[in-house]
Amino acid sequence: MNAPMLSPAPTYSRAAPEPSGIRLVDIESQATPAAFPLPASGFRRDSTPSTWPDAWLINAVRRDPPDEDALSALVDRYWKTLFARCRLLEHDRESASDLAQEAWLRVMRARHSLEPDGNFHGYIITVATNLWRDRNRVAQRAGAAAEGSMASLDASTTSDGGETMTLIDVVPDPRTLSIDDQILLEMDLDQGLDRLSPHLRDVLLSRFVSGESAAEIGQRYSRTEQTITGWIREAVREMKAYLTESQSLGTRAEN
Amino acid sequence: MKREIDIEQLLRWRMERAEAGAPLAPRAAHLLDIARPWWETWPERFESYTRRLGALQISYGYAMSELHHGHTGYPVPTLIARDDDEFEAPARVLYMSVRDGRLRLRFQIDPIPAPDRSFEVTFVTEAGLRPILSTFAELSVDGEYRLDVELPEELAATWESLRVTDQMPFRFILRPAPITA
Repeated sequence: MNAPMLSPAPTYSRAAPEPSGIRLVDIESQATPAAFPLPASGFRRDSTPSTWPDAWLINAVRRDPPDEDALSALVDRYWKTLFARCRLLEHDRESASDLAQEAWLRVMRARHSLEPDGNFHGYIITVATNLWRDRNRVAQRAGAAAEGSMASLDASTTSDGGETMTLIDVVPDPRTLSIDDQILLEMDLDQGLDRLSPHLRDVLLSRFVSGESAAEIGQRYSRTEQTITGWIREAVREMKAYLTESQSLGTRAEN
Repeated sequence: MKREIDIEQLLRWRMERAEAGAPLAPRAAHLLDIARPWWETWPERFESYTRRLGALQISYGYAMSELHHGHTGYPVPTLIARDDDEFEAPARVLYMSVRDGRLRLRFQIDPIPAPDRSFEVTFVTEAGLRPILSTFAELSVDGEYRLDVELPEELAATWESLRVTDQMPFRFILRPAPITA
């Protein structure tokens, strides 16, 4: 029996205090940002929400009814990075956009518990990632094909210890490629990610994009650090194998 | 010219590309509209349901005390609200756990309404009949409805100590969930 993969409620990490040392959460009931004491220097107040710091925007979004302009500014500020992360998780652009929007819906439904002092960017990325994990977990439970995937979760992937994460012999630096070749590399990379099982894709992104340690990922999966390290290496190996196989990449690598 | 590149750099490059090609952000007004819970969109309908839900204690008092003698916990007064029909059916809570801010709950409705494979479950406070939470429950092969949902912090703290044998501080309004692909 596999331990369930849990997606704990995302929590905020405290953001660095404002330069003035003000705790914005303490004045969340402020009706307008105009009443907000400004930092001593280095910040100019502006009446346009797009220039407000996150804490002001979050305070305005928490209110009933939420401030539409503040929400708009907050969505605009984080939409692109959120979409980009979702794009790595999902197999196409449309699904990525849906996932990003669903993350915003979750945030809106839980908006009263938003912490103005929190790391909002990290929070919404976590919300989206948890949604994606939950969907995969449900799909794995339900799908017949999931049997194989779940079995592989318990199979401790052996690590030869000598595997390198460097792809120099497979992939040239994308920035040295022509625009057309960059598009091809992008497609290859997407297809390579799509071929990974959800748990390998998750650990790969958690490690190299989110910067989580193997121990941290292991806690989420109820697996040892060693097992997670094995999964990461397996994911890299699979990516490398796919990119090597790719005809278009092979051609580029020769040039 | 080749330069050493690793998987991390490659993934970050892909993210930069995705960021550059991101679609337009959804409009705030649209987000606010679709994030609104159904009881705010149709307050009259909610009021009508809660009136009927509030009366359940009287009409189901005997049945509920009977159910309570079973091996599961207290029954939860439940109203099943379809577009063209409403009926009452106590739900038996078979399992309840609040951990890491998430509620996992299994319940059974007897008899199981055959056409409804999933419900949108609205939790309504036992006291005051206020809506507190809405989520989806799927029918399992065992004939149980299962839900797994993140709870607001305050609710998680309050419900963490609840056991399946406790009287639940909520009632249910079940609405057939829209069919998705």
